[in-house]
Amino acid sequence: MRLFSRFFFAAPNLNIVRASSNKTPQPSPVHHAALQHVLSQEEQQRIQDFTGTPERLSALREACLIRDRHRCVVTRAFDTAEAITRSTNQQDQAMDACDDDGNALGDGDDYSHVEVSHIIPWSLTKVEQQPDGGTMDDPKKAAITILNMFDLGVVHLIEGTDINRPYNAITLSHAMHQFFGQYKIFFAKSHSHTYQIGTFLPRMLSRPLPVTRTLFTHPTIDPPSDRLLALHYAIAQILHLSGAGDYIDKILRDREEGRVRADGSTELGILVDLALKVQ
Amino acid sequence: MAAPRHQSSLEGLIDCGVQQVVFSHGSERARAIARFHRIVAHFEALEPPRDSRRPNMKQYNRPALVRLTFEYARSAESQDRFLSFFFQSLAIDMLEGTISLDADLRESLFGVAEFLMTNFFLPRASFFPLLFCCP
Repeated sequence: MRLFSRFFFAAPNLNIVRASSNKTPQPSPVHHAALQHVLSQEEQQRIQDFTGTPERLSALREACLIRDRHRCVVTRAFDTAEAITRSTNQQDQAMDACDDDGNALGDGDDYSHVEVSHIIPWSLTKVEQQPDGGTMDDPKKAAITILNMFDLGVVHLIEGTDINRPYNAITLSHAMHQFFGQYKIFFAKSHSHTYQIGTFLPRMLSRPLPVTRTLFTHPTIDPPSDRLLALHYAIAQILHLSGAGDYIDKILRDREEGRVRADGSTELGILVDLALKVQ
Repeated sequence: MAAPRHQSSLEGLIDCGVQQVVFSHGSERARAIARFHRIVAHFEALEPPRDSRRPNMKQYNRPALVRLTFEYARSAESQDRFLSFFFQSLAIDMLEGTISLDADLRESLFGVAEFLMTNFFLPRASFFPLLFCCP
């Protein structure tokens, strides 16, 4: 991870990189192929341990798009790429392409580039053999212990490759994916598969939230886990209500801008800690 | 508890969650929660509510982060683990003994917030491995 992170931090002008991004990676064969050339086998394995193989991510994306009917679960906008594909493949030019429910896709409908987002994007339980015979480093152990203080046993839902199961993913528009990853929007369960989706965004950016949505289900694909959505909800509330969210945003902005505040001894300490953590 | 008030590192306490039963009776849990709230509420109220330079930005309140982490825990078992961790970190008993709401206790409480922030919230909220931009 050390060389890997150095590579990315050292190349901030490459568009494939955003080290502080909190979004689920979308499969990109071009980027993956490019990486094969610059990363050792061990480094590639470590990346895959975190993010999943391209095949797994592609399978996850496909399953979620089918389950969520190619629509953002928040805005209900239909996937632009899928609309173009269906329109192109439409044999009878007089007929409209249809959505997953068989309804015609019209020019008055809402379209957006949609992405498949992990609900909980962090893999915590990859056990690593330490030289001293231990099996897990302290930060990881601390994170798992803290996670158990939130919800005892929830870690089993996202350990190892289970992180890429459809119950840990939802389809979101690009903007909603960004906000979800930043804990600016959240899902509060009403009943069954119905959620109140709320936001901490400023009012001018919050449309169409708050909104109530009943998530689509599929007979063979797991629905989004209410337990993982509840964990995301809890983190969002804690960050917002304590002011920690703004504090973290400030740290990340400073880091992206390479700024160190003269008075910010605490921020500086955390900044350094964060940099060390990713190596 | 024999541990000193000042914990140089909280890393050594993270195994406390392994303990299966933290309280033998519901009344013990209630007493521990009351002590927890008394400590946190005292120091939370002392924090400035807003940053005067940024009125629209909420001031980060470390005791509030600790309180909310407890309150948003999903189950009693999870909350019990948190309480166990909290009181061990502050090196005071969960159920009895005098609580001195002094500068040392404030420092220990802020240490708990810092531990949660650096080991959980900050890495989670700025998750780094997700590097690939959309195609």
